[in-house]
Amino acid sequence: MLEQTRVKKSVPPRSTVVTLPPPRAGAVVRSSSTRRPKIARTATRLAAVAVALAVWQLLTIAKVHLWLSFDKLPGPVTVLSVLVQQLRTGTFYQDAGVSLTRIAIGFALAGVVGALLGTTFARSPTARDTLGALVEIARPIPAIALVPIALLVLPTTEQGIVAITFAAALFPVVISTQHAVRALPTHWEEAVRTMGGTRLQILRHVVLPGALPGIFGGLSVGLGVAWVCLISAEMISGQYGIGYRTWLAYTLVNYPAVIAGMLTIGALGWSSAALVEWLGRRATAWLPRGEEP
Amino acid sequence: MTGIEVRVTDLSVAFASRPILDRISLTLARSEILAIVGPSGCGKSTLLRALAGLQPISGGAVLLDGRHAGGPSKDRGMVFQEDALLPWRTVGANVELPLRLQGVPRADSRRRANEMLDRVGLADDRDLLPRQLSGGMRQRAQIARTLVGEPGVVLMDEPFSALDAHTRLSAQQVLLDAWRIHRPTVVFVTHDLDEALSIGHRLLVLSGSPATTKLLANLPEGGATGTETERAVSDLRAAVLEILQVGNR
Repeated sequence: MLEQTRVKKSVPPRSTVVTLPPPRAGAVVRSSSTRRPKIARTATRLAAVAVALAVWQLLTIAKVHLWLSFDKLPGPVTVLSVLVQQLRTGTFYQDAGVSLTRIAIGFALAGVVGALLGTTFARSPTARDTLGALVEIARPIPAIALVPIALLVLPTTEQGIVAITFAAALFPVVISTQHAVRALPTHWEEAVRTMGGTRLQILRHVVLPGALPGIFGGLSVGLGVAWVCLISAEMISGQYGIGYRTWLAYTLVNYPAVIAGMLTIGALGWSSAALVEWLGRRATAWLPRGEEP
Repeated sequence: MTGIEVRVTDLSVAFASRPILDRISLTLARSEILAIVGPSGCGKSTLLRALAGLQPISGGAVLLDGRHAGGPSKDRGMVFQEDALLPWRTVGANVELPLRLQGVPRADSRRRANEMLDRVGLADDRDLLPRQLSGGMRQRAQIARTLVGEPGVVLMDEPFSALDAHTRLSAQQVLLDAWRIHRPTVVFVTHDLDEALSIGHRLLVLSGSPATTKLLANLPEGGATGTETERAVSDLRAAVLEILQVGNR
């Protein structure tokens, strides 16, 4: 029942100052001074690498032949000298440039298309039930299995290799973005809607920045898969590139060059992953990373 | 912009055919502050979200100065119970956001945001990220962000429920000080009867399933004292507590 009452307003409540006891003594807080210095950690890591290289060199010099055979494996000194020789040739930089260009194009396209598709699938049931269903069918197929079809339907081998790199990186970005967008707290979007924000403004100011941690998570995973597929595609059908050059060395029984190629692939993969990680940290600098007490 | 008149007529809301609100009717005069209390889960927040246009209604109407309210708009700002500041934007950028969305030039929006931050006591914190603020500061920033766009109606969903008693009193004062600038119409949902009595011009008590209006009490302007006032407030408090106890059973 509705009841209309008229009363006079009470006196506003007054705050009371209460003196709290000091914090309990004896609480141990781990300070930065108790952590191992960075230089010590770096030295430890370098020492671990040096020990591994020394063991590798000793095994090859001794031509150890147990379950693993080191009698035909080149040692690190031999590999290093081949690598230094390669670094003095134009072919090395041409191959590295070709591989990097392929992965940059395929990966960048996968990042943009993947983020767009993931966002669309997360926000549109219609898109999820149509295009999303097709993506779900294609997703379990390893990108490297697309090589024959990619080379068949695309006009050039170069485009085929880029397409395979794109396909490899695409799905991790789509899935990560989709989950990140769906996990966004609804009140962020509602707050912007009550400011009069349009759908486009909500995408720009809420959805995209909010999903960036997930998008970069997908990019990190996608980059690793993209490198695997790029090198494999280059080995199968390339005419240039680090993968092609490494496989060529294998067919010529030039094992030092094979290992030099492997190390080059590793260095390029690590550098590109570090670049994506750095970009991700810059783009999501607002995330708490333990710097606050 | 000053306050907007809000007229709610026979408002009903249902979730999956389960009625939550049943024919709520009330009229808020311009610049009025209506405090809403009720048992947990009775539909207070649902009413607020319906007023904001965030919750589809199954019957009745919400009129703003005589016009149908429709979906969310910049006329109705909302302060959420949860931390709704965008964590990647600094406090200043959060408070500027409503103005930027409305196309206000950057320099102008920055100046107005700075003025509002100054009023809520966050002038020195504009370059901090929300996670670097305390709970009370974050709610003050939310209030600043809501009020900077000068909405005609401000909807507040238990904004201070997570704050300690001292911080809550401070935040209430910040709200009232900020309200005096443009005097928007305010709907303030709270589970704290004392908070409702100290902030509101009128008190609405919702209860039942589906929730209906159980009591609508006018409160006089602040500062009134005396035995008669205290007795009236005491009677009102007892009446509300009885309704709430029945609603919680």
